[in-house]
Amino acid sequence: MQAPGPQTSESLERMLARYARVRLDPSPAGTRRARAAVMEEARRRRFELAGAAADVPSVSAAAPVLAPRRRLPFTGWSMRRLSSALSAAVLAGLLVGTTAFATSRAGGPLYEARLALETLTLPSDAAARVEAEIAIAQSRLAEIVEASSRDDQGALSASLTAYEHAIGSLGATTGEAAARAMEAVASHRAVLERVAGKVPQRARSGLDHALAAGDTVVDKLSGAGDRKPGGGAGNGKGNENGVGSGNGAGNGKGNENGVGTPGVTPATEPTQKPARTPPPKPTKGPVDPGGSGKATP
Amino acid sequence: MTIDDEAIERLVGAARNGDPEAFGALFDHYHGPVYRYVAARVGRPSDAEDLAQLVFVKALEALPRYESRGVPFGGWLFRLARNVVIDHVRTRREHTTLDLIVERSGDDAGPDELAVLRQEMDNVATALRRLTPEQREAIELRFFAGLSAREAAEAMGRQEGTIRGLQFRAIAALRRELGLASDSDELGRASGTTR
Repeated sequence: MQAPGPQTSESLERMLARYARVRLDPSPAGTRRARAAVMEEARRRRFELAGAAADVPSVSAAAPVLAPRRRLPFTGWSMRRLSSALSAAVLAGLLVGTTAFATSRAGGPLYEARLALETLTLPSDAAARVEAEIAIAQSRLAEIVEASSRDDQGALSASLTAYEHAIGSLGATTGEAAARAMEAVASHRAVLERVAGKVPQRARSGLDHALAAGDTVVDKLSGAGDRKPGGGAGNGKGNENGVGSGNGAGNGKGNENGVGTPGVTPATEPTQKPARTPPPKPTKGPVDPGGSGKATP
Repeated sequence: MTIDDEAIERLVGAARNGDPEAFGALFDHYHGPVYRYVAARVGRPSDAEDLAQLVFVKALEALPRYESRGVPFGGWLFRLARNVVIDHVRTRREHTTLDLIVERSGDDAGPDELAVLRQEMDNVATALRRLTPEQREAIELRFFAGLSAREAAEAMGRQEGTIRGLQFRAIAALRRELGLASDSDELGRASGTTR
């Protein structure tokens, strides 16, 4: 994009520029709202991409089976060579073990320690804290997607518990940030529903619980913020998709054309809200799986 | 924020691979121009906000199918924006005009200056309304969104030369409407070399 060039007199160009600035420039608040919603959608799509990629058979599974080796391994090795190799393997194991802390998977022995560390590094500034908590909830969501794609029930259970803690923290948000938190939690529903449609029956209850916890948090936040999702905030423009109506949870600006899409796909028809289940129970381990890192599924 | 075409292509590539931060950078670069274009077309700021947001959501959806092949990303994005606006105008129930747009004047402007500014803005709005739809769109894309002639041509699905012709006639009409002194030299330049 460049300046339109010397086709017009300076006075006309200035006049048009002034007109654009005075009448057409977006408000900073509107830009922030739109950016938050679009980024939420971008992250949600990334989760879905990660989930879809996990559905593809792995390279090793698809690779042709190699012919069996005729010689047994290590048959030509001396005892001295074997002991050296074992020592090297033990050392390598120790090194890997120490670095595993940073990348411990959900359900692993160091997972809760990582969550506790994340909590300790939460920023003190209220707005930054909400953003960090949203990023944490998104990280947990990514772990849920990853665990379900690996069919790892332990990891799925741990990440679901941590996710409920994360959105529980967001549920305490008040003021203007409540709308932002509500949008984030509402946008998770589509991802959770997608995962719920894929996992075995025995894992469904945990996901249903997480979905219900999300609904509870959205309900709570809709009362805490200035704006309500899809409610129109008294300007007569809100759509009919209220809180917990699936993808229609919005930023309070949705219009009759369904174009108000705060980070989720536009919902044109209200969808059935799932049956209420009790709010999430507190679980052992870290009180708040917080952290300051961004969601990087 | 100013970033060159090469940087935009890099960001587009990263965004296509699912990098949300790269898409965020593209949003930061293009949101203002897209909003101005949409606001000029639909009039009401609340609609403009929703539609500009929708443009970027649609861009996210369509990005995997985007192939550069000499088509500037800005032109591709504004084609999306144009389609979003067309769909909106087709389905909306009420008609709004540019006059309904909220004005944002400088904080330190006095009442007299505000009155002058408002008069000028009204005159520009009236002059714009008297252009043909295509001339008006050429002005919106070139001056309000800041697109190059090539990008505007891509957005409107026309030839680059056609856009220049539309712009030339639109400028002449605006100058007449706004009572700006005609400058034969400038008009001569207008038909000459432009990007």
